[in-house]
Amino acid sequence: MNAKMLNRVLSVVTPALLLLAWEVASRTQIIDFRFFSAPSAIFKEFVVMLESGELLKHTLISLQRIFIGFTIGTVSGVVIGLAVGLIPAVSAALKPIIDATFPIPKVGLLPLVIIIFGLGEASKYAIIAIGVVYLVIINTVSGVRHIERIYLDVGRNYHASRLMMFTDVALPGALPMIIAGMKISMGVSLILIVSAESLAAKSGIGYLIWTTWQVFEVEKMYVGLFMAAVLGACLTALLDWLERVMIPWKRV
Amino acid sequence: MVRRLTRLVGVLTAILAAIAVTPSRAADKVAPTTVRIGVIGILAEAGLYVAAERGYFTEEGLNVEFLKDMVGADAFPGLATGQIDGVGGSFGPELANAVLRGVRIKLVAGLNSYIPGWDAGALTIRKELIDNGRVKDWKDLKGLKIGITAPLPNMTDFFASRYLAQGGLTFSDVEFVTVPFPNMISALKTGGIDAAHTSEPMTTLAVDNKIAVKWRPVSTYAPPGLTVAILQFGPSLLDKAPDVGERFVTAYLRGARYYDEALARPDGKAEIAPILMKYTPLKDRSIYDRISFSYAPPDGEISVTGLEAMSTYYATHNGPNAGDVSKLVDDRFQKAALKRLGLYKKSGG
Amino acid sequence: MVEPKLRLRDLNRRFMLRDRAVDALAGISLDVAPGEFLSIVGPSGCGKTTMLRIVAGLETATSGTVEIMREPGSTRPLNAMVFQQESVFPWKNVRDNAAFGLKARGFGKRERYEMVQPILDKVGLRGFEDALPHQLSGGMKQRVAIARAFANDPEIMLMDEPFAALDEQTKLILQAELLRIWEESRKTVMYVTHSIDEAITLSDRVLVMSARPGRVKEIIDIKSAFPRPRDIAAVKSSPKYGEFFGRIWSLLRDEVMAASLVSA
Ligand SMILES: Nc1ncnc2c1ncn2[C@@H]1O[C@H](COP(=O)(O)OP(=O)(O)OP(=O)(O)O)[C@@H](O)[C@H]1O
Ligand SMILES: [Mg+2]
Repeated sequence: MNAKMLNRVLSVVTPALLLLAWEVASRTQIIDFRFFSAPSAIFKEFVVMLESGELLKHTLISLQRIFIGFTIGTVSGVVIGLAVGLIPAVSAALKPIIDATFPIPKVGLLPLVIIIFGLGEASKYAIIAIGVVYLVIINTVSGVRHIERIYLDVGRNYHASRLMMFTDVALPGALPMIIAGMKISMGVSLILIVSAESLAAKSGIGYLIWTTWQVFEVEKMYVGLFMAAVLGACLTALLDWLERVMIPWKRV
Repeated sequence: MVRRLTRLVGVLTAILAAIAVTPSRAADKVAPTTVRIGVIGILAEAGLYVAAERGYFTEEGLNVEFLKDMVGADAFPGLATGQIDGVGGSFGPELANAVLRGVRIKLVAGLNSYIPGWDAGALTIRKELIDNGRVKDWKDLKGLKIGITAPLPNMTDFFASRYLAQGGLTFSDVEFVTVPFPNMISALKTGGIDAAHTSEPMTTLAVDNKIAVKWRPVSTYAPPGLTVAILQFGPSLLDKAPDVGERFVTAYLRGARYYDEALARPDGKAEIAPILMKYTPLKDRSIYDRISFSYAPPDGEISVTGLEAMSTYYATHNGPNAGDVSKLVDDRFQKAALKRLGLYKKSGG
Repeated sequence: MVEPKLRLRDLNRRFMLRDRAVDALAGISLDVAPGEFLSIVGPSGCGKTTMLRIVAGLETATSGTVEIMREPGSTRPLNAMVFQQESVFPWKNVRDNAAFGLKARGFGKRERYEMVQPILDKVGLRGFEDALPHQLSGGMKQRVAIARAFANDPEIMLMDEPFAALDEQTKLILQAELLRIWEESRKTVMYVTHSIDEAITLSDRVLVMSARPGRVKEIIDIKSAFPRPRDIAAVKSSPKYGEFFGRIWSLLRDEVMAASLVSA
């Protein structure tokens, strides 16, 4: 067995062992079933919720919110980041505002976002976009500023237009950093959507987790937590794939 | 509101922390025994606060700590592990689910009941709909947007089922909008909702601001004598130290009685208001002159028929079926307290 | 003499390193004839790259003038530089890298792809048009950089040690290729190198620079001894080659020693 296969086996066996330990601990009353439940009971509930379509409904709506909010945040983050990174006047105008507002915990902005964007879908998109845009801006700026000088020299030597400097040099040059920013902000998106949904929504994974806990439907809550984890894993895998496709020259 | 998720995380951590923790209560006879009670911090819990302020708990050798917002599902892990001794709260589906899962919780005394003349709850309707004559009778509730605080089934929609029934209506005749309690007034103001079951002081605040009208008192649609807030004990008082539980209920009943008597006096409000201002978010003294106070049953009685009505409602609306609700009640403590205090007789009444 | 293609007059460049002034170039005056291949040799740090960057417009002179003459009516770009470091864009494939200058000049996709293909063929990159740089060898990457410069068809080519990082065999092959391409196009070239051999075999004239601050120490005429087209093997076996080599080497040795004394 080579190391790669061993790693693959480990990545399956470890979670399986943990689940087994959980199940055993629950059955032997080492942990309190009433609050921790057990994987088998959660799985049973999972199947029930899957068959009723309830789980899929909540997952898809969360996914849609993340997707739209994330796209808005990433696209505007890249555009703003490129401008700040390449145009000194834009940097002078925006950098202080960005630096000052970046440390505000985005979850704390939720009530404000709800006041501005209402209780509907727009506020969900907005809070995710806000969470994403900062990380993408900051990474894009730093990506642009760390582009090797030689590439900018080539651009200047061939009299590339400002637009071409954006699209052909700065953007691809900063892409590794941008994607790194996207990966971090995906985690942030999940946290924000779950919070936003538990605060003001009628659907979504966060709503599921919060409301089922409110009425003490423990297994359902764990199914919600599990789905949030699955969602996180899938979205991370998606971004890893995106990274491989978009920046093949950085492949290690 | 925003803290919900943080709280959820906190609760999960608390569960984890609680696994191996068995509280070691020093059964010292001199030092007062500490009792931790989860509360919401609302007017319906008045009896508890009066008892605390009058020193009745201290007289029983108890040091009572109120843990704000530690109620409902958030409180179950703490109750099960003995980190919390009791809670004040309503009978919602979470309680039925917890009991069905084997969490040991019993209803030991009533904190607040809906009886005629004490209309701390009401069906509140957007003023515009009354002014323009849109709503005159029960049947006019048809087509309105009804505010509820949680997804079905829960307590506010239980009330909705009751007042809609007064006009021969069902859920399909109205539209439900989920609004957390703190946002109810603004939802009424913006027309996000047209009607809702509200409690004090929200009803009075909405009326004061000419946003809504206190249309029908809760006693016109709730099951008669419904106990909406109930003192509940966990295993630490039920099993380990029932004597402490008895002393607690005794002190509480003295508080409830003092509260009841005080409000019967002309100057009573002036005495009670500062106590409630201390323990609840309602800090404006003048509003206490206009609100309807909550009725704290002076003998701590719990209306089982009212609970049955709620339980049946939950069970028939995709909620948990708690079975025989009389089994949820444990009247040992109330009985012991009444033995010491005797039945309540309103002085002068 | 015909009008020069490039005219440098009294070029000075001073860098400030904190509070210390570093004179990289001191009074460079030079004419380069159209179609001339001029090599520049000099000790490390004498300002060769600086001179090329000033001609390329990537750096400004502290004083002095640079003039690049254009043929009347020409729309060709003034210069294209092949850099000392690796400079192909890792995110563009070979074809798009080679066509970068053409894209900047506004040629459409099909047009510029058609324009770069013959040059890619000439530098031996046929079949690798779609490859990304990380899939190429160091020599192939340098070919891409050269193709990019040639494809832009500039008035003057600036090449800064384009083969310095390559192994000896690859270097020999690329030198021969460069010579062939250059003889076809007869571009004006300024070619910086550390290799005396390279300077002699490729150039019409060799400019030997002094140690920092860089000055024109001597300009050696090779062309009259080795007319075009040239055969590298024949050049190397000629006795004149040895003479040139000895001459340039002795000039350089003095300067390299001067440079190491200064820095010691
Ligand atoms: N941007 C700069 N800031 C400060 N000093 C510089 C800068 N660029 C070059 N120099 C200095 O100018 C001098 C000439 O540098 P240059 O790169 O032109 O040398 P070179 O002849 O190309 O050397 P090499 O053969 O090693 O490439 C050096 O002393 C260098 O340190
Ligand atoms: Mg150099």
